[in-house]
Amino acid sequence: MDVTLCLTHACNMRCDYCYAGPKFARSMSWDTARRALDFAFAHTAEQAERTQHDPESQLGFFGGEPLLEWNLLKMATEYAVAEAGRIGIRLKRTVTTNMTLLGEEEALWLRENGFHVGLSLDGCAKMHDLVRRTSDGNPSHEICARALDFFRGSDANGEVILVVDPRTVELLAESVAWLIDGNIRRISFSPNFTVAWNPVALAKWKHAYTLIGDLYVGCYRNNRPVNINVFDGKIHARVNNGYRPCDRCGFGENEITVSTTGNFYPCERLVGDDSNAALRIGHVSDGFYSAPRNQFLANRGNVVAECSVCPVRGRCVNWCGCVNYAATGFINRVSGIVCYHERLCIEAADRVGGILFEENIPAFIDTFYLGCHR
Amino acid sequence: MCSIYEATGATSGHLSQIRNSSVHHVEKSRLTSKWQATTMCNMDVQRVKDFTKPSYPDRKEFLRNRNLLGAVLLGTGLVTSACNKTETVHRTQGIVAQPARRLSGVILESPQPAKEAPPQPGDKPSR
Repeated sequence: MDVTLCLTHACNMRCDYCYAGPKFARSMSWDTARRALDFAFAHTAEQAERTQHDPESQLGFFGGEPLLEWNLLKMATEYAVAEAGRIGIRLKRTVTTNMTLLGEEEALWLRENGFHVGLSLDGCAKMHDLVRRTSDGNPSHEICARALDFFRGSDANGEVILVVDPRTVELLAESVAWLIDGNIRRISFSPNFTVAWNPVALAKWKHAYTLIGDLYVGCYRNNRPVNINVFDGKIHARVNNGYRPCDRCGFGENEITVSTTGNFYPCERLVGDDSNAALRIGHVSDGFYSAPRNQFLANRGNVVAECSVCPVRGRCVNWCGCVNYAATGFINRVSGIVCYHERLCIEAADRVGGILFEENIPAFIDTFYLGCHR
Repeated sequence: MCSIYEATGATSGHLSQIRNSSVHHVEKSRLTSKWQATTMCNMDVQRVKDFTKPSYPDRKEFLRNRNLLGAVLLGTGLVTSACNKTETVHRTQGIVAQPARRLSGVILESPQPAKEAPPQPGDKPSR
């Protein structure tokens, strides 16, 4: 079972589109963190025994800004590594950070401890500073981008996560070019599906993916491949004839997020300000709440009739419960904007995939046909 | 209502249709009873109607083609070891396997018949 700890609701940034809810000073206690880890590892061991698979777990840190609770993060990691080792669980580690507090010491520690670091940075300063401001309203790009130095190159243990928003989408391609120029090789887009996208913004989005597709092709041609989630995911899904069970998130079954007060949620996107009892599936003191959790598990998927006859449904993430909930209010109903974006990604990915295969680019063949699925 | 793909082609008629399109009608459920749908997006789900199969293969097809080419290369190699190049082409019925830049990542062109010589002046048209 994967477990994400929301270490704090506090953040030193005030990004317009943040889905993590209002910011306030409440942090997780050590006792809550420890009990959450104990619960997750016990569940992982039990699952592994039941399914006869090697026990695996992923420990994630989220917020607010988790690096505000640096000592707790370190303490929880050390405890988790020791416990996982004792039980025989293979443990992956991730943290998502706004980078403002990510100095050399922190970056080194994260690297030494095998963390995959999600770097929230909206590319170039022009795009980033439009929506990512500090709590006192100042631009933050200069502070955040300093930490990029620790994550350059293809063996870096971090990926830059850009939020794609109608207000900034016209700068998306420029931002990706800026990152690639800076030798950032792992880039993820996280579209803001909770706002209305007008047709002009949609057209800009489509244009941006065409330009970024050209950049992606250029990187492969130069034998310096770049990972961009919207292309990689759709090409992998084509090559593998659809998403595989392991590509999908655990959403309450194999994955929980624990809030600062110890409540369990199916995904970190659903924690918000930790006030919506309808989204809780347990607590560190009580374990899982069977009835609501079972209802979540039973309701997973997508019930929109139009999707059942769509020829690209196997390559579409219409099953993502947290995105569905954010956009429609239902975990099992995909929204029009997600549908639009999925079609856009598939179209863009197939264009670049076709070019790179036709040109027999070795890195492309290795990545998608001969290498391991990432 | 027009499709979003058409909308991104951006004629004014399309755009106004999209702007005026209704949001999803959603019924209340237990999960969402306390949640006000303030963030509904302004478009509908659209089934893809003109889907073109991608021009790059799936893994199964890729491996099948690679194995096929491997067999052809192997066959050609065996024959080559026993006779000269001209005979090889003859004995493989004109099929020449083209080695790719690297064996692990071959582009799997189907073996093509050897090209005929270009027509020369005075040649009779072929039937």
